[in-house]
Amino acid sequence: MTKTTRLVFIIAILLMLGSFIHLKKSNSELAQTISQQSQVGQ
Amino acid sequence: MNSKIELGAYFTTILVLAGLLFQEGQKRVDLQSQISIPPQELYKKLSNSQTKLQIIDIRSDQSSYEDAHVPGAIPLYNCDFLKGNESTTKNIFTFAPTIIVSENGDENVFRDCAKNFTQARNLAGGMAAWSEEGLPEDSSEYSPPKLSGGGGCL
Repeated sequence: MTKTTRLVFIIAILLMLGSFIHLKKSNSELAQTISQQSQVGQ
Repeated sequence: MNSKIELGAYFTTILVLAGLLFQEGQKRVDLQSQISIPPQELYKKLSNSQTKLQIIDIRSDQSSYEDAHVPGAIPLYNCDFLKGNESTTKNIFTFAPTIIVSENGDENVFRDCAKNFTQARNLAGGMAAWSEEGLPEDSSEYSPPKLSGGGGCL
């Protein structure tokens, strides 16, 4: 495996990992907003 | 390290991450459907020509729709696809991001209808709130978009 191929794989994995962490964080914020909204509603 | 093992490890990691991303994406769609969209926010989204949203008006009678409706809304009385006019229902895409407009934004009515769509959000307060905010309304029968048409505005 060439150095370039290895680099491409590592960059792809890092990008996917970054997206996953961002999405996970954003989902938990959204879930928090929903639970606050439902508490206000009650 | 053996090149084949290394390659396998990379592919496995990518596959696992893709699965996790897909799962979180589904969760995101589910969560978003639980948050109603306020009329002002919907108006801003509609004003942005790059936003592609489908608006479905599920109020029960035709006269309410013809009196006033959100610009571009497609009527689907009581959210009943079977009773819907064929020329209307063929313009409804169940997989498109959808805003459901009811009389007053009732959550139960929304949930019943949202089952038919993959990405649906409720208009908070329904058509009553839209009118109260004084936002633009259309008042005519539904006419399907023309194939040659384009560049519409509110």
